[in-house]
Amino acid sequence: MRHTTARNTLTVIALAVTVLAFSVGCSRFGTNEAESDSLVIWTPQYGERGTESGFDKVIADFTEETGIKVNYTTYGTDDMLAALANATGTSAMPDIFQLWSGIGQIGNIYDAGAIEPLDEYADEYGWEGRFNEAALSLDIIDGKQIGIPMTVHAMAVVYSKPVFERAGITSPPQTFEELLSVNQQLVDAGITPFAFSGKQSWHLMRLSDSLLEATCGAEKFDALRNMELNWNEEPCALDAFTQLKQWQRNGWLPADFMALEPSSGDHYKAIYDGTAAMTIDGDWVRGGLELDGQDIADYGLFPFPTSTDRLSYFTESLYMSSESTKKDSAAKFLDFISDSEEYAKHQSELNSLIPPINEASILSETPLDQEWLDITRAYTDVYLPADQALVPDVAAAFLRAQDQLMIDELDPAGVVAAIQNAIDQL
Amino acid sequence: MARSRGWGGFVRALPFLAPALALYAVFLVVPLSRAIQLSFTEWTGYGEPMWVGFENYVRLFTSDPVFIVAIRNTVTWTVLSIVVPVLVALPLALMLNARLPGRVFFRSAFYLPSVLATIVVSMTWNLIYRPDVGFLNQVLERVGLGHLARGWLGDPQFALYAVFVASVWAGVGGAMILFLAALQSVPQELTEACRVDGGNRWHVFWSVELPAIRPMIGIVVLLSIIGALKAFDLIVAMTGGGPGGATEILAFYSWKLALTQHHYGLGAAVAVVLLVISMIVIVPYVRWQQREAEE
Repeated sequence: MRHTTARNTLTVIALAVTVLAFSVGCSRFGTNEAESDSLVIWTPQYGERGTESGFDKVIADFTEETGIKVNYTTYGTDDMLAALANATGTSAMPDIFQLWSGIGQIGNIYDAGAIEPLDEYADEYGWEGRFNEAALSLDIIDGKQIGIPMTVHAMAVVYSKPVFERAGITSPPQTFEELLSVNQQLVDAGITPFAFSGKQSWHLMRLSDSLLEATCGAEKFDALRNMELNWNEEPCALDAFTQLKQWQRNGWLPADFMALEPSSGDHYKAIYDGTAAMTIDGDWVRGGLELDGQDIADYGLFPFPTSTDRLSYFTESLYMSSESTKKDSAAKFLDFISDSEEYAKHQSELNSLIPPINEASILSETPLDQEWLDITRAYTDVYLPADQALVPDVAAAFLRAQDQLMIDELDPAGVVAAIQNAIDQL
Repeated sequence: MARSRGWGGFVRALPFLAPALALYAVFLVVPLSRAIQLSFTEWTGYGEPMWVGFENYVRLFTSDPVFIVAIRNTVTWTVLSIVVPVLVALPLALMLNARLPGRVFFRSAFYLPSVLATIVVSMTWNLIYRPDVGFLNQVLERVGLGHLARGWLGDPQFALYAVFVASVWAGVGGAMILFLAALQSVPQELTEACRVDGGNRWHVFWSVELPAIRPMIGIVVLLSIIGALKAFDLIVAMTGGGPGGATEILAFYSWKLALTQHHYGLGAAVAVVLLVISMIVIVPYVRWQQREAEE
């Protein structure tokens, strides 16, 4: 009898412990633990993890001035998308979040109606003329402003001046035909014109985008990306990928580059060695060059000559959640962080060499930085990289087909067919 | 006194099984059911999932070229995982079971890769395979086999096998240890009896050791199959499924569809297909092993 009682008691205790464990362990994922009056903001990491970033400082200033507390969390890009997917439709959704612009990144969130248009707040706070026009254009969808640009990045051709000199090239090419001529001149000098890293597809994507822009022109390129034209029926699309393959056959791309990793900057070894001359990279390139012990003065820039007066460009923007219960406070924060005085206080720590704010100062520390700023100032029209401009399925097909072209698994006609097939399956 | 069995025994045992069953339900049954349910929907992660029936499965099997490649690569990886780890780990274990100088050092050396984090393994082999500065191509050049040097992870013919080699390097130590343990449990008198009967080292292995360690071979093969079917991290870190989809495998493709292309339903469908393949491979194998053990 005593044995049975002890066993039953043990059973009850075991069950109670289990229930308690689940109650604690299964507390709702993504629950907003902030006080109810705090603004919740999610962004990628600014600065080094564990240190006070420029964004932290802006938040501190905002709280001091307005009394509005902020609960701030940083995420990696893929983690951010997953976190937003989990939080949408729940009270865990942040009031403000930062993502790369373009339908490739925000398309699903926008289609779900989870982004609040900002036009009314733009009028209320007088944002007209505040933002970099090219950057802001990427936050206009269906005629509505849906975000404010926070970081701005441009891409161009980065070239080694000593290597150019060795090949007898005295100035960067200004037109597409000149670029082709320069490429051949480099090959004749025993130098590979362009260095790329083919793993993960996104580095070579920059060349594909540039060739499409050059062969199709701005209007047709946009129409193809917006799925208003058929990739199979537009000769320029076929021409672009035919060009890409021809570049490889001509030896204008490195052998075995598909095995190199772009996030490690593997392709820069050939440029440092003097066996390659150029690559396509972004305004963040100075950091990598300095880390590799390079003399910045040995490097120059020129926009990939496409004859369209557009620059390859992307932004990260701050968006307001349509589910926010603190929209006025969120708008106040967006206005605060984009105020030229506040922005100037922490500009050097906000991850954007190219300022999204028109009145912001130019913080160029090297001639290379100044070249970036000069290039971007010359363009008001921009185009996004494919992985941000295309819906995810089409972007995936684009990148895969581009790679298959390089490894001889598809011909140029097969590439455009694969892209159009992905569009047809949507 | 006979132990109480049957329904009554189960009911009496239930309170003690309850915590484990609850864990099993919450962390396996519920997520599995949810994933299967999700595979019949279309969902971008935002809004409500939309029921589409078998549309995801039809799409995968009839119009998704990447899925077919992923199945083929997963089968290839699994078959290789059945054969290669045993062929590598067993001879290593046999050698390190003998009284050789430095065997303790070599046991540690061969086991060490098994304790490395996947990211370390992938970084190491990414460097080894680099076409420009990688160790492999440099060795090939030095020994006069430069014509074999290539961009291993960028060549669709070799990329999958190159990643598999890294996987074997990282995993063979664990299998070796299991074989070592099994070999060391082989009764000495049996091996001595074989030698007394005129048997050489091969006879000892074939007639005494191999039959004795057969259950362990079964375990190693089973673990290798399970590991192969859920291979993911090395593919992510070394090739990202490329070049051109040449190293896509089912687990990675499921993740990619769901998390990067926001097709949670389609990704779940791939995961369910992987589950079915896993059951088809593992369940008969385990039952066969059990029958062998009982015999």
